[in-house]
Amino acid sequence: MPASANELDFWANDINPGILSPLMILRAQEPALRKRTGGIVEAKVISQIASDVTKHQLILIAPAVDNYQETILAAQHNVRRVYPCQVESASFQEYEESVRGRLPPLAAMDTVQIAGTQAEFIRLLKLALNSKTVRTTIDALLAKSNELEAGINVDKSEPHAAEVSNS
Amino acid sequence: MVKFLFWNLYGRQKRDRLQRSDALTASLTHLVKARQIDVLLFAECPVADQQIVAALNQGQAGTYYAPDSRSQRIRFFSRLPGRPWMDAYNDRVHNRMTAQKLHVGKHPGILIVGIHFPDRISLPTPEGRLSVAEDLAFWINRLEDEVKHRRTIAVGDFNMNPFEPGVIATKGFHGVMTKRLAETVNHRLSNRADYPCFYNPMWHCFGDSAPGPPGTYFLQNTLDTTNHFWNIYDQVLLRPDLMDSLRYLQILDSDGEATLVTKEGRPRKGSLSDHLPLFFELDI
Repeated sequence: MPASANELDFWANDINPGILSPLMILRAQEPALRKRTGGIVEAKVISQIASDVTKHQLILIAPAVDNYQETILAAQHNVRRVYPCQVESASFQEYEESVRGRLPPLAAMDTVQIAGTQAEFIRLLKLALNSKTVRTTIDALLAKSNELEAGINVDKSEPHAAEVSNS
Repeated sequence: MVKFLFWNLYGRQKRDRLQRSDALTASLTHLVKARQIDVLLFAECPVADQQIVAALNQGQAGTYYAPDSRSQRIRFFSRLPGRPWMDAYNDRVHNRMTAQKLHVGKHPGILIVGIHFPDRISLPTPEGRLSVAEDLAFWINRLEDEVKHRRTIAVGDFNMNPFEPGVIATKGFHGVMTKRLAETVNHRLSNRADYPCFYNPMWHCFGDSAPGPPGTYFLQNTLDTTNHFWNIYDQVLLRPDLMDSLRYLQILDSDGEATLVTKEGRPRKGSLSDHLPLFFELDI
C-alpha cells in the first residue's frame, strides 16, 4: 500500500511560513514606541549595506530635544540570509548567561549575541528593550522633552555650582 | 577664534592612581592658563567631571563647565558663554562616537564629532578597523544630512594613523592630506563623489619639520623592524567647509609650565598619559 503524502513529510514541525525578518521585527518597534510615548520619543531603524552584510541600527529620537539621537541596538546579517543574525546591545551586560552547567557566579551576557531563528531574535530584542539601560534612556529623554515643553530650562547665565568651584 | 584641545588621558595603570590624577589636573590647569582653551575633549578620562572643572577653573582662564552629554567615552568641557552646546548623537552600542552641535561663530555653528576608536588589540587588522570606520563615517554623514550642513570636525583618538585605510578610504573617514585634494576629490572623481571627504591636517605633523613632537603616541617595539615608533593616532579632521578656518595646529609636549614628555621626548605614560594632547584653533 503506497504511503500518503503526509506520511512522507519529514520536515520539521515548527516551519513557519509567516516568519519575519529582523528588519520587519525592528520596524514594528517604531509605531509601538510612538504609541507608548505619544511621539515624545520615537524609534527608528536605520539600515545600510556594507559589502555582503546588511546592518540595522535601532535608534531613539527625541524631537523636542533638538532631534537628539541615540543608537540602542544593532543587528546585522548576510545580505542573502537574514538568519543567523548578530545582535549587539550594551544592555545585554545587565543579564547573566544562562549556560547550563556553569557554576556561580554567572558571567554577564556578552554584548554581542547570535540569533539563529526569529524566536531567538525576538527574545534578544525583548531583553534589550526591557533593560534598565534602555528604560533609563527613554525616561531621561521623556523627562527632558517634558521639561522643555513646559518651558523650564537651566538659566543659561548661571553656571552650575561645580563650575564656579575652585577648590 | 575658538581654541580646542583633545587629549586621551589613559596612563599606565599604577598603584599611585591619586598621584596621577593630581598630576593630570595640575597639567590641565597649566594648559588652560597658557593656551586660553575654549573647548576640551578627553578620552579615557580617569578624573571626575567636578575635579576637572575645578582644575580648569584654577587656571583662571574663564568659567568652565561640562556641557550636557550622554557620552561615556568622550567628555567635553568648555568655557564658551551662553551654553551653546546641544548633545546631538550617542552610540550606546559601541560607545565609540558622540556628536555635539556647537552654536558658535557663523550660523549654523559647527558639528563636533568625538571619536574614541577601538584599540588595535581588539581590532588588529586594517580591514577590521576599516569596517568600524565605515560605520562611524556613515553616522557622520547621516547627522550632517539631518543638520543640513557640513561644518563638521571629527576629533579624537582614531587608533589609526592618517595613512591607514580606515582614515583614507572613501567609505571610511575619507581623510585626504591636502586642502587642494579636499576641494577637488568629491567634485572631479566620480568614484568619490558620494563620500564627502575630510581634510586631514595631521599629515603635516609627522617627523621633525613641524613644531612639536613627531607624533602623539610612541610605540616602543624594537623587535619589529618595520615599526616606525611615532604614530599620530590622535587627529582632527575638518570638512572642506571648515578647513580654511584652521589657524593653528600642534601636538603639545608642554603644558606651558611643565613638560609632558620624558627626557627621551616620549609621552610620560607613567605619570600622565601615553598620548600627547592635540591643540588647534579655528576661526569660525
